[in-house]
Amino acid sequence: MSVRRIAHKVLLVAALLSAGGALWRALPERAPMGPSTHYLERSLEETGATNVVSAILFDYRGFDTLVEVTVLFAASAGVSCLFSSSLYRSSSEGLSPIAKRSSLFVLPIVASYGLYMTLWGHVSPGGGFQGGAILAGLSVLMAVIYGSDFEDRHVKLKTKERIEALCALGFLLVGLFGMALGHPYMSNRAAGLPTGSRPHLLSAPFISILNVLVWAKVAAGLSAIFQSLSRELRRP
Amino acid sequence: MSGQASQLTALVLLLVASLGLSCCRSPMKLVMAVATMEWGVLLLAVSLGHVEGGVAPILPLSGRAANPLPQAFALTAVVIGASTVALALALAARAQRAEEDRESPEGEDRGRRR
Amino acid sequence: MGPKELALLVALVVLVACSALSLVLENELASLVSLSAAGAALSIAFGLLSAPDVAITQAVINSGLVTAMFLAFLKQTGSKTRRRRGR
Repeated sequence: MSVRRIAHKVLLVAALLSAGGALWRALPERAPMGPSTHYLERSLEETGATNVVSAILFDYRGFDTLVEVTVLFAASAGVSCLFSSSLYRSSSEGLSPIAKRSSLFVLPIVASYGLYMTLWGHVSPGGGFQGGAILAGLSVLMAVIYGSDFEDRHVKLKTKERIEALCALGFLLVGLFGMALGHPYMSNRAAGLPTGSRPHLLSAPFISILNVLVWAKVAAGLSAIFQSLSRELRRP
Repeated sequence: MSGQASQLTALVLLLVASLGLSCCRSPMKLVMAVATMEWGVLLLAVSLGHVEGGVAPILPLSGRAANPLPQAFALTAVVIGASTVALALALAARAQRAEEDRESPEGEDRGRRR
Repeated sequence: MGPKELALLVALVVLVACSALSLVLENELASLVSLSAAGAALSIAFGLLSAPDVAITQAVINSGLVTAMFLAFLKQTGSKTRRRRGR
């Protein structure tokens, strides 16, 4: 390696270290609590949710989650655009028949775990994102066990794209519900019906609706991304 | 103390990822460096919201709760990071395949014929 | 230093080491495995920093999806990390 390249690398490391040092000096010990104290105290009676993070994501700051859903939609659309003109060919036979047969026991358990995590997302840690990611991981597992074209034989890419679009649209429309009653957009807190002080399955109906929509959307989007990425690119 | 250690680790992670981003050649390493940088930012955010001896922000609280706002931000950022990595990988795979096809004999023939 | 802080320290050290390792290794599969290990260590660190939601999300998305996407990418670009002997 020539002297110039060594000098470049040393300069790079020195610049990064000084920037890192400056950042370290500038960091506070802890971020100020700010509105979090309000969220922690009043989350149960205002939204009916015990999981304060879910209440923030789907009620207090629901607009940010809407934009995040849009980002996921854009990524999935971009990936399936890039891999649109391709064959889909099974690239492996999958695993042995023992694995295939025992996956029949695994599939319903994992799917119901994802659904449970979504439906009780406002009570205990969880929510739509976690449950959707679990379902998408399930589709990856099926692709490993049965071969890459398992998903394409059973759930086409078009279906997943339609589910995604419908759920994104549904998220948008649920926000309009609060607007119809005269409150600002996505103010479910003002328009919803939180019921009392004990959280149960239906104690925060709007958060649960949004949770289920995000669950379907994340599951469809992430598994569509994986399905597009494992296509065989056609030779021109 | 653990919050401070996590902040330091997040900064070190950012440093390592920036070094990797500027020195690595293969596209896969570049995407991995981007993912590492993303994780560094998330660790920084969550550790800024951590309180000493705090509990998770799930009601009913059994002590001082950690700040739930950076955690909500980090949660969406994890999914967004995965989408970004997916798009970057798709672009890199497509670009590499286009490069290979251009250098193959059929690609050169097609170029010459035009 | 209580057990929780010790576990957090171990998780952070594993995180930094595996991330640096993933950028240095030549074998693509090995660097992918160390990136996945770093993600798992990060999710443990999130759990120990009292952020259970973020820990669950990071664990599922990193182990289930990001690793699978990288593997699909390796298959697309025909990586040369096959075993010499055997299948």
